[in-house]
Amino acid sequence: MSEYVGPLQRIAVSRTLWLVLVFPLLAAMAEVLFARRAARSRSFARAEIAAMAAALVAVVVHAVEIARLPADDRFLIEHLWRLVRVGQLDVSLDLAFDPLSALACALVAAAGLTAAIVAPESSSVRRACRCVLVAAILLVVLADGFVVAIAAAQVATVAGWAIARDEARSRVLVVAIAADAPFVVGAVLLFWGLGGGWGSGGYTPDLSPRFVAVRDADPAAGAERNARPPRAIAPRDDDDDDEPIRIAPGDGFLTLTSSPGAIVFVDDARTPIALGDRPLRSPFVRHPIRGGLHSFRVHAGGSTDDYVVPRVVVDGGREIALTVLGPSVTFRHIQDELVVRGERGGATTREDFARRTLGGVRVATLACLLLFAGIAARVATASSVAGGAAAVCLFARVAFLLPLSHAACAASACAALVIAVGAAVSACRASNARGVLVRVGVAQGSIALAGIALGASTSALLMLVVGALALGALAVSSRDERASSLACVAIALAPLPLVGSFWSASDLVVSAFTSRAIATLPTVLPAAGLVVSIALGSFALWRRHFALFSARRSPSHVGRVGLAAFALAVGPILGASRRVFGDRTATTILETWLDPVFARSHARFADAGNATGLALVIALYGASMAAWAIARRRTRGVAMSDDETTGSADRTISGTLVARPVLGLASLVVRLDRWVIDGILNAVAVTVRAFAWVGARVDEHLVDAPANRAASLALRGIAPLRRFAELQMWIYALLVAAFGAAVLYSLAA
Amino acid sequence: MRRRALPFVLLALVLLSLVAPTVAFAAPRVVVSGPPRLPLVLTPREGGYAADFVVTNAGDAPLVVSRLAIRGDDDDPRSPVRVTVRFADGAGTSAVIAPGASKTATVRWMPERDPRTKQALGHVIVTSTDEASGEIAIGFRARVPTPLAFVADHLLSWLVFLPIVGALVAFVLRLAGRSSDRAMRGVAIGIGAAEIALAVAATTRFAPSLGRADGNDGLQLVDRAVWVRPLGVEYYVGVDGTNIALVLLVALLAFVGVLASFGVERRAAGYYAVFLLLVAGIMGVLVSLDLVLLFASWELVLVSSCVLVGSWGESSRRGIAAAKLGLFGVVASAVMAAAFIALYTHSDRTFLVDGASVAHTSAIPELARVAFAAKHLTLFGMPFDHVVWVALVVALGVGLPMFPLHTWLPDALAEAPAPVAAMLGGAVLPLAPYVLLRTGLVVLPEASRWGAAALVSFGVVTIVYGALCALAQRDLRRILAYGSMSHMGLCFVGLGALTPQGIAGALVQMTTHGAATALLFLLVGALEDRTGVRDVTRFGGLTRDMPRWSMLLGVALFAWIGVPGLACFWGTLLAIAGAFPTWPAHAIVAMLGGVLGAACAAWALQRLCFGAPNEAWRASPRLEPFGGKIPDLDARELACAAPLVALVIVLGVWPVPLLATMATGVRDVLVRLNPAGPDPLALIP
Repeated sequence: MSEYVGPLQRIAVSRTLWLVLVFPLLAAMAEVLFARRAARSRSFARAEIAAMAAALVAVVVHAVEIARLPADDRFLIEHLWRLVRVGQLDVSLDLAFDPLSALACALVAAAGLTAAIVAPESSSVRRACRCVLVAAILLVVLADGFVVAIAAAQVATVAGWAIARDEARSRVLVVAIAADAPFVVGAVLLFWGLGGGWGSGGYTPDLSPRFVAVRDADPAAGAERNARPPRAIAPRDDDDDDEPIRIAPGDGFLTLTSSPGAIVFVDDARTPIALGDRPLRSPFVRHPIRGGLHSFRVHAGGSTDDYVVPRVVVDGGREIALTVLGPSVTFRHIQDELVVRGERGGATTREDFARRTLGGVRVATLACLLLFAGIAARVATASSVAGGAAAVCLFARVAFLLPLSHAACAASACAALVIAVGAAVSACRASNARGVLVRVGVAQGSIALAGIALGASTSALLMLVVGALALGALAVSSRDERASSLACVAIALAPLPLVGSFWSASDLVVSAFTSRAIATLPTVLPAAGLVVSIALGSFALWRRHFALFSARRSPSHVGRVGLAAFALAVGPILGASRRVFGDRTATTILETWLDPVFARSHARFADAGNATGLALVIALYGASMAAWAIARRRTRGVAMSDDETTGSADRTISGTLVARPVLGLASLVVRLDRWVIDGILNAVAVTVRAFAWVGARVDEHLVDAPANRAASLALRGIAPLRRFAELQMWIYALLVAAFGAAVLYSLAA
Repeated sequence: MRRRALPFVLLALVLLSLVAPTVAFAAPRVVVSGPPRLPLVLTPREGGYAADFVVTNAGDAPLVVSRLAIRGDDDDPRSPVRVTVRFADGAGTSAVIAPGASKTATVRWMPERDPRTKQALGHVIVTSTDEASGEIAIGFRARVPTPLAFVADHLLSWLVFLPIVGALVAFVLRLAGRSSDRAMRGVAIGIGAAEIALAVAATTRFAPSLGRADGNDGLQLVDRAVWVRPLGVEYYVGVDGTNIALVLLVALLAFVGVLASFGVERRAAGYYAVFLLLVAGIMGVLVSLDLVLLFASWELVLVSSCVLVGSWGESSRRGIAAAKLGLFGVVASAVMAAAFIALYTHSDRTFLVDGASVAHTSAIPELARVAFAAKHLTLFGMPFDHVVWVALVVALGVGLPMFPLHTWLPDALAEAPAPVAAMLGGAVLPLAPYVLLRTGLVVLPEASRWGAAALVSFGVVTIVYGALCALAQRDLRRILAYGSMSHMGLCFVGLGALTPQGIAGALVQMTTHGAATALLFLLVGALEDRTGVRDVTRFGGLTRDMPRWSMLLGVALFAWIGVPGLACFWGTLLAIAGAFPTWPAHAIVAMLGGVLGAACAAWALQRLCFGAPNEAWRASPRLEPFGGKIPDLDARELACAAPLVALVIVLGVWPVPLLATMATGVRDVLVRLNPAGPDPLALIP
């Protein structure tokens, strides 16, 4: 038997992760069950705040828990229940909590809490929907697999649909569901692509074993870990005592985290491995096992065959992990599968998968592009800042696939930047503060997606955090507050030196310029795209702010100022490093925190030199400052209302010499948006309606007409049919009696 | 007078056709005899179950019985393990019997202490030197004793015949002139409740992990008896993983349908009687394991549906709707009958349940053993199995309904009373893909592989076409009808995928779509009762007047379109994921068709429940008694909806019970479709 080595994702089993989700869900249930009382009582609104706060606390507690674990073990997993096990499709409601989840969960829970405080809802149903929305978005970022993530995202869409007030929400719902289609197709393509290939004869599955034994690639690295007592990370029942599991000299360790609920038989044993008097069920980690040559039989249940892993040598003090190869929808399994290698240099899943094609296109490229398309559409149509942030985090979660295809990286980055520039330009033309904020939010999300595609995931996520902190609170405020808070957002998002998004933006631009992920594409293009989109977004925010509040003082609000200050501070706290000054080895707090997640993403960058880096930062900073200056100079004193009627202000602005090209471009993009993008959507809608109408007419006159004619003839010509239709009861009585008698007679005979 | 004689003539014909002479067998040299009534019934004995039979040498020379054996082998275990047979005097499984002498043999079944297998069925084969006799078989059966054995041992038969008994009671009361609507309601609701109780009992007794490898053809709760001996037709019912969930669903829908029918006032007794016949027919189709019984049940469904639509329909078009349903049904039945007859006439010699040898059989498990493809038969110049398979798909395509055989559905569902529409949409539509699975895929696996592309293609066309037609409708019932057609197309996609995920997805879709569709028709019926209108555009803002109705409609519509967390999501996901490896383009188009369906549902929900209310209703005379408001659901309507809502939510969040029930059944189908070989192994669970 060929053995496998590789740095599998190490996990610790948690039994409390469900707490992150349960508080918002409990609040939602209370709102629904006691709807009448909830409508009258204010205590239910406070309960919503308490639930969000509790969720945030649960996130923080778990973040602290994983922070105390060694870096490689920072991955909590909790198996709640099995959903589907059909063939090799194994879906469970598993929650995974790693540094990325921690960051995203904190962001989402904080956004939920802020929304509950800043924009209290009077309707109990809407409060319940908001709680469900937050819980669903939390589940998106906690999900350990594609299916649960997609399911949670759709539940979030429906909850957002229920909260929305406008008439267009049905359209948003349909667009969101349609947006999920490419993501689902990408996930399904990935699932089957991992287990076989398409050729002239159709799909041919691999004949590789389903379960394999994997040992750590670096024994020295594993030695320290194996020296720790297993009880620290093994699953324990509440009633288990605290005695550590005894390890005899020469014992090795067995780990199984796939197929939750599965049990393992060693050699020819008739009873499975047990913990106390109960069978030890997956997931479990580092269960002591006698050293030597063993065979393992994994009984997964669900009427699947047992999987046998024969002839596995368990060395004393070393760990053997049983893991799956082949089709999987679990992020962790796929990631593991792509790093596992044959100990004797055998072919690996990574190499096989990278070679597979479908319709002449590499499966890896197709899958990455489809996943990106689904996520980008989610970002563009997200009904909440938290939803957009969760979608970006989902893309970061699957970023380990991107190194498999440079073409997918390049296409994703370019598409994301096009969306970002388009959204930023569109923000310049938005007629009210809400429109500006929404479009800037889309631009931020798209920039983050581009950053992830380019391999700069940490910087992208930092930009997302800073932006979400600013946008998340303000997007839910009342109209006046929202308008008056533009400056806070602008300060937070503009790459002002050393604060706000400066660190993330500058690092993104430098990374884009030096990225090797996009192969033949000139790196100046993504770098320029980033600079343009950031500067245009900044311009849109400042312009709206100056136009609205140049003549009067913006009303102050302690919470808003605090949030803006926090958003300004978060950037340097998490992202400050000496890298921007030329030290390429420097790391940031966020990079250190997220390193276990992205360590295996294999992002590579060229060394552009300090001068180039500095020039790029100066270009970014200069563009942003220019945006601020132009906006301030040209729009200060111009009366601009925060509604749809902005004609006079826009004409004045259009008259300015410098702003004209920008606004011309904006007009172009808006027209493009109205006539092309929206036009395509409308045309699709009209075409579908037309097809539907034609189909219905065809159905009525061509397909159905002969049947109608025949039916009429039958009614007219066949008199007994009328008799049947009119139900002469005694006929049926006799027939039924005859039938019954015949049956009884024949049975008796 | 001549008309009055018609039923008596029909009655005489039916009786004459069944009272056929028994075939006279030539006296064999070997006579196997047991109790007067065969098959042998194994009774508790010696820690297990046993029964004796006698092998007699009726000839004038010594008879060598070379082998006594249980029919079946390791690859095809017809009986459960631990069933043995041997001569009673310790002679083992072979013996020499002197002329005129007899030897007693014993069949034993020694189940485990806590047996998963609750019954044993099979045949003992006696092989002797008497070549004229050939292989002689004697059937046996055993059951683990249960309380209330009269009911518990025949659960499926009760499920089928109890509604017929209810219908008979109605007719008897009617003929006696003592029928009252109230009494008939009581009878119907009692039978509905009993159906649920029986279905729950059947589900509880069902062991999901038992498959073909465990004997009994993977079937459980089997009732089997000879029906028409000369033709080799049996009364043969049983369940496995592919139909047990549907049985439970139909029982639930029957109860809900009866409860929802309390509003029917015109000729209520007759209505309930025919409704119960419909339930019996549906149950019969689901549990039948014999083609003739299946066909008879199918016809019962057809006739009772026609009568219900034609006699208790909602508008003047009900006659047309019933006639269309009847015409389509008759044509489909004719094609189906031809296919069944073709299968029957080309089947192999086998044994009836009591051991009698027959030249042909209509038992589906026996037909599944016939290698039709290997016989290299032709029909109309084409391979026999291909032609029969196409005939089955066409016949069942009417029932699905598949484009372009679908036009009966919108009319029937639009005109039928709401509870009948719920039964038609929720319980009758899934019958077609189920029968295709039971007959087409299992009996004709080679042809299924040959025609999979067409099946998937028609499924995809049905999905997209149905969704497009639904988008163009304004009548709520027609939206649901076309939407149902679209969703049922997914079943063909799943079945045509020939992967475990695809087949499981099709089965899940049949069950969950049935629940969601029935719920929708009941809700639409409730709205129609209040307003008399089904035009979506005439409503708006119903959340204000009917918050409970709106909430349930939202749940039902979201479940219907496959939103996660609700039941239909899993069927859609599994069917599409299962179809992807073999038919990626089809799977993608099917998914886009699903988006169209979602658009339709979202539009309908938006128009009905949100936006500004239609103030014209305030002045409607129909709503005068309610102060111009449309009244919300009452307690009875909520009671009808509650179990279905619970079902779609529970199965959405926790589909394991449903999938676990059908896992072994799916596996057995897959093994049949993909015989062991180097390639498809990885697809088998």
